[in-house]
Amino acid sequence: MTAKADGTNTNGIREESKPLSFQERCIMTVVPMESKGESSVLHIERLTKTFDSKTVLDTITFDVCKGEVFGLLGPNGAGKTTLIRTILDIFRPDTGTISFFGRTFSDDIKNAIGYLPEEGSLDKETGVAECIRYFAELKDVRDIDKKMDTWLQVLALSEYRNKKIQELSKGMHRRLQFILAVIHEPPLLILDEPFSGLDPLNTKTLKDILLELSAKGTTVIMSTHQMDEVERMCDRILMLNAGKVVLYGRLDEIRQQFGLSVEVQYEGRLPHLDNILGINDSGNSAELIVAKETDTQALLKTLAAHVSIRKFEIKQRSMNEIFLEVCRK
Amino acid sequence: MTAKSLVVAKFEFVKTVRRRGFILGTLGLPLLMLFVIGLSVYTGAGIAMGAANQTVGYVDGAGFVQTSPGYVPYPDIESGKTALVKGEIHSLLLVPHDYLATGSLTVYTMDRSLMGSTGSSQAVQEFMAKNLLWHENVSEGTVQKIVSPSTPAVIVLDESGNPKGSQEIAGFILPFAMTMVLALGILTSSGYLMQGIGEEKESRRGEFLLSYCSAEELLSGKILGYAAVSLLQMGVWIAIALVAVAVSPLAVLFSGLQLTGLVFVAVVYFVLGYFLFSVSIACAASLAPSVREAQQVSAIFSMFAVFPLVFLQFLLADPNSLAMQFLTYFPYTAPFIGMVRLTLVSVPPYEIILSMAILVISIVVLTRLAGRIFRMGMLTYGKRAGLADVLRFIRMK
Repeated sequence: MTAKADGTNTNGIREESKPLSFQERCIMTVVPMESKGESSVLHIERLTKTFDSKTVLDTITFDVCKGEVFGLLGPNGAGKTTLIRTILDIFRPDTGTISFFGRTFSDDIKNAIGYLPEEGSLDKETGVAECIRYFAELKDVRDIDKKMDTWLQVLALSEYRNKKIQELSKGMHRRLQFILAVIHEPPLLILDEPFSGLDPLNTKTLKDILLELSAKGTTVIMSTHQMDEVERMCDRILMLNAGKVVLYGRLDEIRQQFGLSVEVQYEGRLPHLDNILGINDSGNSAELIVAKETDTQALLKTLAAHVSIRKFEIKQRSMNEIFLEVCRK
Repeated sequence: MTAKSLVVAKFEFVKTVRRRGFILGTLGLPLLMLFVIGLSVYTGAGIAMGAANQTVGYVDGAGFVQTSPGYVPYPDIESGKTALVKGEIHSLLLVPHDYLATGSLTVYTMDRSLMGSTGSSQAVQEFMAKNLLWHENVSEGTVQKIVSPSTPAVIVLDESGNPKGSQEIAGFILPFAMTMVLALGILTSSGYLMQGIGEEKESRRGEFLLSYCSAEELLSGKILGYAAVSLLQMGVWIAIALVAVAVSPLAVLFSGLQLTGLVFVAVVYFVLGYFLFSVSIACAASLAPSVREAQQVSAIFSMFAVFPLVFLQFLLADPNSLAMQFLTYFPYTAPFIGMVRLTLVSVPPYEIILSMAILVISIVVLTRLAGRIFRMGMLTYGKRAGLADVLRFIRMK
């Protein structure tokens, strides 16, 4: 039986006897959504974008499904902003295709997307209501006043309806930007660092709203560096590094592919361990990264035979660790 | 022009006309100008009246001066000075004994103001001119014609030698005035456009807006919005000017005025010129990293608007020179130089048609490129985009 690059044999069955390499763990997560039978809201196929001679996005392929919260991750300069701008039709791809709900980009599609950028402030001289009305009119929204009142109430900005934007605090300004992104009830919402500038209370409010929108069928693409939020909210993620897809798939599956973290507190000298993906030893405590298939009971026995164990805790690896590991490679 | 462009235009228009600066500029400037003109007219009239009512003493050393109302003779310079110091006379004219040979005069006065002495000098010159003519036995009627000549009636002829009516003279004034209005309109609207785009770029609002509408829609909406702002401002200024003209003696020139072909050409130049400058200024503003730098770039375009004034001397000397013909074809100077030439001489129609065709082609080409330059310019933060960047933006998808 011959093994393929994604770690499966010629019959498509994964050979689980040996741990996967880093590349194998990344590649195997690139699973086309069609195979999952879920309806694709956004489909990107072999998208490439270059600026001068620099390839910023390199043959990117992925799907985003209806109602899911999709995390867009990557270190600074990975190509996330360019990808978002290309999705929003601010940039046009050099090669590859982008389709929304099975169609290519059009004005209707533009109106079906809500966008919250990471940076940028609104015109401070403009009134709150006037600003919402302007952006709502650009998205051809009807019943603007009714929707405006509802959202102002939900985000606790009702009393600022007739105030100028310059009177808003940073957090209020961010909430107003969020209203502008959702006032037209878009089926696809793209958020760039949505929680930046928000206090924990407002972060929770916004998170609850996003999860509620997601539950009602709104698709949310969220670009963030806050890995704890990714773990709590995202169904699937795409991670870019230097313009290439380095991780793509369901969050739980990715975390599994990256093995387990075993925290050990001990006295003595750790023995040489086979089948360990990584070790961070600080003398009397160590974090061992092991493959998910690893027999942890056998590992405990091996360790107990050499050192005195005070703590042995098995955890799934955090997204933060995975992020760092992928970025370092 | 799409619905989104109109939404952008409406927003920019309302936002700008509500600004205190706009209201002050629109209503305050013409009122200030009317005040200054009124003040200078009033002051000038006061000086003229004052000069007419002043009593002048004179000492006739030459022995030929005849007295006139307002002129008091004194036997010697000392008595004249005493009367001047006492305030009995406003100034003292000394006509020396050799005046007829030398022509030199001296005026003593207590008034230190330049205007006052100028008024006195003019009155004294007129007085001495009369006396010289009387001395030469010229008739009183001729003396009056020489001293106060009547203003000549000017009759302008057309190409076939027939006199033009006063309405057509006004028809000349209108296009010239429209050229000035175009220059003023470009200067004011470019300021608003620069400010608006510069602020949006500085606050990184451009990317947000581009997720709502395309760069072309945003650009055309802004140009339309600020054009409306500029037209409103021009409209108010023109309305105030018309009221001022209507209540002045100039009203006769414009009564029953019919719009000639020249006025039509002026309107076409105005529209084409406005769009060319607006698109150019919008692109330049999107490439500048800050509002301040955007304003500096706008000064380049403002310079074109004042070209007729810079080249006025050459323009008046030879309106059909090769240089002026070139400036009529060059898109950024065509609306101004073309219009001014038309008011001065007969310009071959093909030159005007060619000039307008070049303007239209320039606008079409620039508008196509402007979308890309504007889109990329708005997304380039913190650095000044150079010519190489502009070429890159144009090539970019």
